[in-house]
Amino acid sequence: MTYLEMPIPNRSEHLWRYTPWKKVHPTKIDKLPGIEPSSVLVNGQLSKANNHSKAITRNEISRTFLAESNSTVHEIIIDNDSIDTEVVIQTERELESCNLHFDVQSSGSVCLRLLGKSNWFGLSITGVLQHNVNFSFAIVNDLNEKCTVLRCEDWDISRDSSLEYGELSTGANIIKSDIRTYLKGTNSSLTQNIAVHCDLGRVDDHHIEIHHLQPHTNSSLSVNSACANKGHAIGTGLLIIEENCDGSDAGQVFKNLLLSENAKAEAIPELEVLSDDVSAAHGAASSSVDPEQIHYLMARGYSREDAKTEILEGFLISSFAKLSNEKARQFLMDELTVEED
Amino acid sequence: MSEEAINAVGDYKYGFHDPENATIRFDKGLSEQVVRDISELKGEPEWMTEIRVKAYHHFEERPMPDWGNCNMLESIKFDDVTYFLRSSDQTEKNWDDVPDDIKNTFDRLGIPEAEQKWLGGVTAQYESEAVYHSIREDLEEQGVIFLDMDSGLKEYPELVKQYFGTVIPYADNKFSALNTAVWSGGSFIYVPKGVHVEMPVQAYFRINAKNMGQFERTLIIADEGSSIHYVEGCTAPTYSTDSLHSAVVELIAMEGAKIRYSTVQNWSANVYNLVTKRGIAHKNAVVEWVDGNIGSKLTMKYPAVILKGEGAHAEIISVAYAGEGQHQDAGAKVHHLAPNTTSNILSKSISKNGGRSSYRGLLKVNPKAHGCRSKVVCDALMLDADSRSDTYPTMEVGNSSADLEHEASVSKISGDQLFYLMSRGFSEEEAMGLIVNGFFEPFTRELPMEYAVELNKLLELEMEGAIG
Repeated sequence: MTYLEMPIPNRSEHLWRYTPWKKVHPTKIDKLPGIEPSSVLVNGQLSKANNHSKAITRNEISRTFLAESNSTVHEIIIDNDSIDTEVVIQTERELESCNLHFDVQSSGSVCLRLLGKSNWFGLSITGVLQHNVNFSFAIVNDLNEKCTVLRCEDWDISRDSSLEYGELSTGANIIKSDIRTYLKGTNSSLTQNIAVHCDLGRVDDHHIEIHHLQPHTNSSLSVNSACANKGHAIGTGLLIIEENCDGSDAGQVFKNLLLSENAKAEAIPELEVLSDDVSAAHGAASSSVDPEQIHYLMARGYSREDAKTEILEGFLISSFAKLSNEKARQFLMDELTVEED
Repeated sequence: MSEEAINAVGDYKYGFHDPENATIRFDKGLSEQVVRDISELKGEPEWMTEIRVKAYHHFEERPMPDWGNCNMLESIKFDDVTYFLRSSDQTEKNWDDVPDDIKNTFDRLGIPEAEQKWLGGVTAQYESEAVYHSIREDLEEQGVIFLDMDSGLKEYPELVKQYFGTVIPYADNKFSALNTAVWSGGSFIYVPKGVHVEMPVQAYFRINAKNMGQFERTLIIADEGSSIHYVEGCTAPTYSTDSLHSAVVELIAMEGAKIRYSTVQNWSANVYNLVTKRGIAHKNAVVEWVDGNIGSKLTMKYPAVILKGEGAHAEIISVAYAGEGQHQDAGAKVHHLAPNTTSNILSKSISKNGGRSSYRGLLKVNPKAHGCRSKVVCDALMLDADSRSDTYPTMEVGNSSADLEHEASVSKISGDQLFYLMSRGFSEEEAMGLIVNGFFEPFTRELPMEYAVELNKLLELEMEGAIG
C-alpha cells in the first residue's frame, strides 16, 4: 500500500494518541511532498547515497512516508575496519530527510549527531546486528529550535548479539520518534537509555517498542525526561514477549521530572506477555525536584536556579552512567554538559 | 438437577438454572419501541423516558470500541438478547412471599442465611427486576434509603432526577448508553448526613434465563460525613449461548463521606460483562472499589474515581482470574482534579489454561491539582505457557508537584516457594493453591468474612487440575 492509499491513523491508537499524524506531516496530510535528502558525513567524509533497493516490509504510515518521499539510502557497514564511526547529518533546506541503514558485522560503535537549519526533518534508521556482535549506538538531536522531526528506527538483533543504545534529545520543537527493536536471536539483548529535556514549548514524543521473539532474550529500557516551562514529554512503551520465549527478562522504567507548573508529562509503559517462564516488569514515576536536594545544594553556596540546573543535569546524566562503551558514553555526556551550560 | 445438567455445568458451582416462569418477557432485539415499552411498563415519569430514548439513539450511532478484545466484542449479537424479563409481579419484603422457584435459587446461593448473620439490608435481583428487598429497621429509622432502583424512582423521583446520570452520562460510552436505554433494577441508596451504616448492605444479581441481558443501574449517595459499605455478588447459569450484563454504577460521596463498594463477579463463562463504574469524591471524601473478577467470558470493567474535592482519596483493589476462554480486561482510573488528593491502586491477576488478563489503567492529574500523590501496583501471575498477561497503564501528569508511581511485574509461581511448601508435606497442587490464595490476600482481607471464605473456595475450585 502506498502512502496516499493508507488510512490516516486514528488518535485512539496508542501510537498517535498525543502527537497526531497531521502534527508531524510537513505539509498537508493528503500530499506527498518532494523532500530534499540531507548530506551525511561519515568519519568526516561525505557519504554517497544509493537508491532504495528493498521493498518496505513494515506497513506503517511514518515508514512508508519517509521511504516514498526520499528514495535514497546511506548504507554504512560496521566491520573490523570501522570499529568506531562518527556520523553527522547536516540539514540546510526547509524540508529534508535521510534514510540510514547500518549493517553491523562486527563489534563497534556509532555516534550520530543531528544538526542544521531545516524546519522539518525526517529520519529513518534501520539496523541489522549480525551474530555475536556488541554494538553501541549513540544519537544526539541538536536540530534547530523550530524544527519538527519525524523519526523511525528499526533494529534487528541476531543470536548472541547485543545493542547498547543511548540518546540525548534536546533539539527541535516537535519530535515524534518511533523506535522498534526486534530481538530475533536466542541470547540477544538490548540496553536502551534515553534522556529527554523539554524546555520552552518543546514537545518530545517517544514511542519505543521492544519485541522478544526468541527464548533467553534480555531487554532493559530507561527513559529519563525533564520538563521545564511549557515542555511536554511523552513516553509510550510497548514490551512484547511472544509465545515460546521462556527465559526472557525484560524491564522498562519511565521517569519524569517536572520543573515548572506548566510542564506536562505522559508515561504509558505497556506490557504484553505470552510466555510464562519470564520476568517482565515496568515502572513509571513522576515528581518535582526534591526540595531537600535543593536545600542541600543551596546550603553549599548554590543559588536556587543553579541548584535546580545541577539536579537536572544529574538526572539526565544518570541515564548514560551504565553505558559500557566509553566512546558512546563520553559523546553523550559531553553533549549534555555543553547543552546544559 | 439432572446428570446431564450437572455435566454441562462442569466446575462452575453456580451454573445450575431453574425453569423460566416469566410473568412478562419481551421479544428478543432492541428498538425504540422496546425502550418506550420498558419505561411505560414501569410507569416512569416522562423525563426518564426521554433520557432512555436519547440513550438508545446514541447506542445505535456509537461504534463499538476499537480497543480491548475487539473480536469478542464484535461477536455480541445484540438482536439475540432479551432486554426485559419480569419474573415476579412485585418486590417482596418477606422472604416467604418470594415465588418458590426463585427462592430456591437464592437459598442455594446462601443469601437469606447471610442476611440474618451480617447484613444491614439485601436486594435480590432475578433477571430484570428485584424480587426481594429488605432493610434493617434501625437503618430505616435513621433515614437511610435502600431500595431497588425502580422503587427509588417511584418513591424519590426528585432525588433520582437530581443525581441520575451525573457521574456517568449516557453518552459516556456505548455500553453506558445501552444501560441507560434499557436499565432495570439495581440499587438506590441514600445515606443522610452523619449516618454511619455499620453493617454492609448487599445486592445479589442473578441471570437465570437464556440469552438474557441484565442492565441494572445503581446509584449510591452518601451525604456529608456519612459512610456505607455496599457488597455485590453476581452469578448466572451455564448455557451454550451467551448472555449480556451491562451495568452502570454511580457513587457520590459528599464532603467527608465514605463509600466502599465491594464486588465479587462470578458470572458463568458465557456472560459478556461490560460494566461502567465510577464515583465522585468531594472534599475529604473517600471512595473505595474492591473489585473481584472470577467469572464471565469477557469482562471490561475499569472502576473509576473522580477526586473532585480537596483532600479526597481513592482506593481501588482489583483482582482478576482468567481461565480457559476467558479475557479479564479490568483496571482502574483515577482523575485528580483537586489539590492534595491521593489514590492507591492495587491490581492482581492470574492467567491459567490459555486465559488472558489485562490491566488497563489511567491516572490523570489536572494542572490545578497541587500536591497530589498516587501509587499504582500491578502484579500478574502466569500459570502456564498458553496464557497471556497484558498491562496498559496511562499516566498523564499536568502538575509539577504531583508525586506518582507505577510499577508492574509479570512472572510465574516461584519454584522456591513451591519447593518450600512441598518439602513440608503439601502436594504440588495444594502448594500452588496456597500461593494463589496468598497472592490474592490483599484483596480477600478487604472483603467481609463470608465473601472472603467463598472467594478462597472458588479459587481452590478453579485451581483444581492446575498441575500437569
